[in-house]
Amino acid sequence: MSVYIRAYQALLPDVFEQRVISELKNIQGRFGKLSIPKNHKFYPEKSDSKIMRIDVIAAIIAIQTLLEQVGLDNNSLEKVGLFVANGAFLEEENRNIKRVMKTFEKIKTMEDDVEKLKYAFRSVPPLTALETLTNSAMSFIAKYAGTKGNNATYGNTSYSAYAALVDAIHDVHSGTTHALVGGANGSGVFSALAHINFYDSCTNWTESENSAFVLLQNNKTNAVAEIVKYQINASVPSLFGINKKRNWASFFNGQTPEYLIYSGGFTPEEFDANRQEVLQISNHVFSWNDTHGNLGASSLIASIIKGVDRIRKGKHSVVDIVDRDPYGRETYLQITNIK
Amino acid sequence: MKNKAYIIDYELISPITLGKDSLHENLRKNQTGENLVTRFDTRGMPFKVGAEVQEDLKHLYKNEDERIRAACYYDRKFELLVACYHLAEKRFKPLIEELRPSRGGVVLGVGSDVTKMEEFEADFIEISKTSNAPYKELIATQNTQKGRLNKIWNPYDIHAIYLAGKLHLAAFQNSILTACTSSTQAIAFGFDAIKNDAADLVVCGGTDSIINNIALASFGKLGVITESDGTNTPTCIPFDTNRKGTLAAEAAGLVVLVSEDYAKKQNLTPIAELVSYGNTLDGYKITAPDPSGKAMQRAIRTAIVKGDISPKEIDYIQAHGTGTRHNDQIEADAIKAVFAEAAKDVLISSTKDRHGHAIAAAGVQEFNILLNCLEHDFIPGMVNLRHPLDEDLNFVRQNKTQSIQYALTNNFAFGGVNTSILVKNIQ
Repeated sequence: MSVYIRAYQALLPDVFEQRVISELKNIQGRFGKLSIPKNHKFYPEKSDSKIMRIDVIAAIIAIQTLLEQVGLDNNSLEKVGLFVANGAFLEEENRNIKRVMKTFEKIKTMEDDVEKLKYAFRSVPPLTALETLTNSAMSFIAKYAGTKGNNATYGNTSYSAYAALVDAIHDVHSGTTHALVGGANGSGVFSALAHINFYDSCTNWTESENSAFVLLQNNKTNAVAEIVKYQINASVPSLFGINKKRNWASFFNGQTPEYLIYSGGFTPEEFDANRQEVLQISNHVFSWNDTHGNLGASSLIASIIKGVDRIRKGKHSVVDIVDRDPYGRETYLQITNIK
Repeated sequence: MKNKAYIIDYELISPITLGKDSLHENLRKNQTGENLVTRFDTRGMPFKVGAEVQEDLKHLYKNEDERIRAACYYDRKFELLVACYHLAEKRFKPLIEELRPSRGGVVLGVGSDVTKMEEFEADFIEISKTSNAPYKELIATQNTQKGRLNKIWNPYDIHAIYLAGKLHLAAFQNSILTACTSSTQAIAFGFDAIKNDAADLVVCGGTDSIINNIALASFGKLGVITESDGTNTPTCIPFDTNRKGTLAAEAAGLVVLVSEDYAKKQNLTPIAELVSYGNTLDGYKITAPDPSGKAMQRAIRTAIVKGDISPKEIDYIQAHGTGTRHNDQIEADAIKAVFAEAAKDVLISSTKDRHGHAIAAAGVQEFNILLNCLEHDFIPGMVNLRHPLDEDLNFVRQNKTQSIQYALTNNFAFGGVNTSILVKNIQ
């Protein structure tokens, strides 16, 4: 059964910061940051924005912008599926996390255990659970955009967007007319610290805040592209022993893709290995990593958007997309123009 | 979409059972896991009661790789999952002997990681002497670039990838992060994978623990945990007018779903058929469920309509029933709205008064209890219920011996996520 892309929207970073992740381990990071004006017409209410991460705000704005273009009525919106891949859930800039850190600082000098525990309990900010809620992007999208159908939030690497996409396709195949699928990716020191252990050595981390969504539908009407293939390179990933060999070529059976979009890397070395692999497959390649850094959980969706854009401009009729996550899970998509 | 999805086996580690073999007996004798918390020092906080898995689990995974054992020490939810897998390993492995890896997948619901700060206090103090960002430096120095398992902030994916590695399941390894509906959705999307022929076998489930100081403090401050010093038990009284909150808990559970074809080819005997599910969003507030319960009703109704049955055919509802003010009233109202005339007949109970609320693992825990009830013609009563909030509904107060043909299980999450699954007894 066919699945079509009706509309798409992304918010990509426009400022890049070089920051120290760890002085002791000599790790730096280059972080892409979103700057979203608070007077944006889709900027959330103040009572909500105070407990939203930047990736959540970006997702809400991306989705509302997308849906404004499509113009679904409320009855249709209520049934729209919503499948969200989400990156890290903790921001260094979060004032409540800073409060928790200050608490640790304070209690380390306290002698009495009970006083220490009482102080710690008093200091845990009540909003911490909400700010770090893993389904926050999805739930706020439902509130602001009115999409209340089948849903899930997936974590945390770029593979999670593939998982979200496949479940969204299943949703469309099961009779839902429309399903939104996308990613909301935070970036920063805590994301790096959670994943840096994946690399033998890492002195430069690259990750960007962003959000990217596409609207899938079950018919051709007003569609801008069709998803004709989706596939995972079915090898069992491991918690140990990183398989550094890329197997993207196996998706193409010796054929040369017309235009190939590939995923970024959290380290320059990882991205370089990706680039070397795709250049073995095609000369016409693209990755957002060159201009916007690694887009993390949203990477695959942003790649789809780039592909659709090329198709709409008439530059290609077929675009192939490959992705690889830090566990070595490789996925492949093919999108085509509407025939 | 012709494939049927059958449930072949399941496993559970819960405050009321270490493994499915003792589950029925423990349900029958109304065992509860409510106890004074022992896993950390609760002095200084008003929440001293929880439902812990109190048994030592190390013996279950004593032959594991040293790095897995180390990760179990630092990450409780990972330990629960690893232990749960080892309880089931001898039964699960034969199920996949004839399975091509590309036809097997994993979907797990998992909760957030919490730093075991008491473990790192000395290191933290030492680093603080020279660094103005000691927490970051602590993580950087503890997560030592030797694999994908961290001491602090484990990535969510490790659970599904661990399981995939053990059972050679290559088709997908998905991690669902929707709080209290995480593992319910994991089961629902495992079902979708079977129905859409993306896999012949899916191991679904989830793991979580909120028995730690940060989780208990932050959930407690949101007003969803009953304050207790241990003298005012029971603390969790679902669907009672005197309910004051839920009981913090932990659990891990696994369910094996297979396609009808695979079950036939492998001569497997199903426990039940997973018939359908409904899954909706409130789109209301992040902090509270929609008091109208419309999306909750839609989830329940969708499961029933997609199952192609009528409400009166449903014998039992395994309710979410957290014991919180908001949830229980809205859930009761939603059941009444969907079931209409049949509402007074359908048997309803929540088992959270026995095992507490395991958040991301709540769904699979309750799903597996439901499977166990189907196997034993048993309906668990609510052991703490004295003053039902709605006399029109048929809340089960005493355990019943009764066969179940169709049953629903509900879970609802923070942020307004509503998931309801319909199962059919086919034994």
